[in-house]
Amino acid sequence: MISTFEIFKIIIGIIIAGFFLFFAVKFLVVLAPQQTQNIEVAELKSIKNTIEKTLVYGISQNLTVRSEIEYFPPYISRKNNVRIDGSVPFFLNDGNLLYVYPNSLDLGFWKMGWVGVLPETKVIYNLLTFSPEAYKTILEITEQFPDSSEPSITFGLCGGETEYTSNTKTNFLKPIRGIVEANQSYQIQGFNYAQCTKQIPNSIKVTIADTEIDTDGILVIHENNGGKVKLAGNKMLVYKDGLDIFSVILGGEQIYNYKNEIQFSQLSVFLKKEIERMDLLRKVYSNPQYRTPDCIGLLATAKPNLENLKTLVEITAANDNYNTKDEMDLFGELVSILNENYNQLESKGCS
Amino acid sequence: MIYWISKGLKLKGQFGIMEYILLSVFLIVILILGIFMLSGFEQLKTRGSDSKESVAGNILSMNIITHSDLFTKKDGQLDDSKLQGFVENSCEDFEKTVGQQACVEIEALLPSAREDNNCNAGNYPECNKWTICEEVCTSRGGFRILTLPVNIYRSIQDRVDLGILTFKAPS
Repeated sequence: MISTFEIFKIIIGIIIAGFFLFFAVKFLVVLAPQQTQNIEVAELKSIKNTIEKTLVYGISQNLTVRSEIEYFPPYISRKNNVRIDGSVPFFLNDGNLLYVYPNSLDLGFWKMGWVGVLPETKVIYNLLTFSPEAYKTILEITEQFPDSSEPSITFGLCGGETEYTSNTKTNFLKPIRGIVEANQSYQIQGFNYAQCTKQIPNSIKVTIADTEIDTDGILVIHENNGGKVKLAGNKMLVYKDGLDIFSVILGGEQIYNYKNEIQFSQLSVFLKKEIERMDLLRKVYSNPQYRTPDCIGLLATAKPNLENLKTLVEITAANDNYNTKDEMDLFGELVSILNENYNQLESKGCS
Repeated sequence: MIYWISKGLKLKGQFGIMEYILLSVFLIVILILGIFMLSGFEQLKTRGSDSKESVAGNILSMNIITHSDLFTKKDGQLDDSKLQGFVENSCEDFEKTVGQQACVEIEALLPSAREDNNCNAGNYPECNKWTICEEVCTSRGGFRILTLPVNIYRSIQDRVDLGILTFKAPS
């Protein structure tokens, strides 16, 4: 017969075992997935740090990624609430092995640094004309990509059934740069300037034309100082620089809007500060101690142009008018005028 | 005799129960202490990683100042005429640019100047210290402070001075 003490021992044993079991189960159910998520968040934060550091230190590097990245700028993961600092523009395409590199949008008098994050990529240009503008468009788009062999980022031309692919960006751009600098129409011997009919797997096809045509992939219609990009689904967007096309290639209209929002927001602050600076410098240069008559005149010329561009930029930013060709043409004109002003200020040592 | 044996067994049983109760209490206390220690470690880890993130954010903001066209003549070289534009009423623009609230002091180390001469609208370019978002420096209590040696281009004098950038972020 079992004594009271034996029963007591059994009950205590069951309670203690239950206690241990409870914590073991709780650990497995709650802590183990949380631990997995912590590892994922730690990796995403490390990617975030790499992207942010790339902008300021300007060093490219490879990243091996196991976690799921969801590119929704400024987030790289909304699920885990991991976001890139708002002052760091970045353009990302998901993959296991990524190349993180710095680049910039250079308007001449103003530059905006940005970071690109790309996996293995193959860009195929389908050139339908051989004008210098068409080659210039290719040059502008390709400049947005890095020169990387691991992961490999390659470029090629396709016409009809013919495909020419270069293994590096430098090799691909060498002849194209020559054509653009010579500014003369150039027909590559034996190359067919027709729609690409060859199936090239795992590639991004970008068709360059001077009129609207039906094509799969992305169609770039180049005009003077910019043009239009046609997305799958017939949506047409205005572009004014290579980064506009690059953003469309990576993420369609959403990333195009992101690029323009950040560009116009940063440019607006810059222009506001430059107008104030022009006033300050004019005031200082009018002091007989620092008098330089050339500078006063040049600063007076630049200020209204800065004000005009600031007004246009503010209107564009407020109404999301990046997609209006006339306004973007005006933007391009004002940028050219300001570049002249800044070159003169620089050459006279006034800024 | 039987009475003494049964009484002895009863006492042994009671001691046994007491032993088990004591053992159980010790086990439970050890378990609870273990749980507290584990959660304490977790908290410390989280606090450590938050602090690390915050420092990384401050370093990023500081580097943005030395690389942005808003403050520099060229990469890594601050332009004094651009800094002057941020001395008064520019906290909002500054915050938008560097991504956080902070106060920044940039001081040109001139062999001729023994004292700080704060820059304002009246004394530029004859000054050597620019304070951006001074209200943040004066209104908040604790700061995380980082410093960085910088080059400052004096646009009127057309020369480059050595300087110190002090970044103060509210902690």
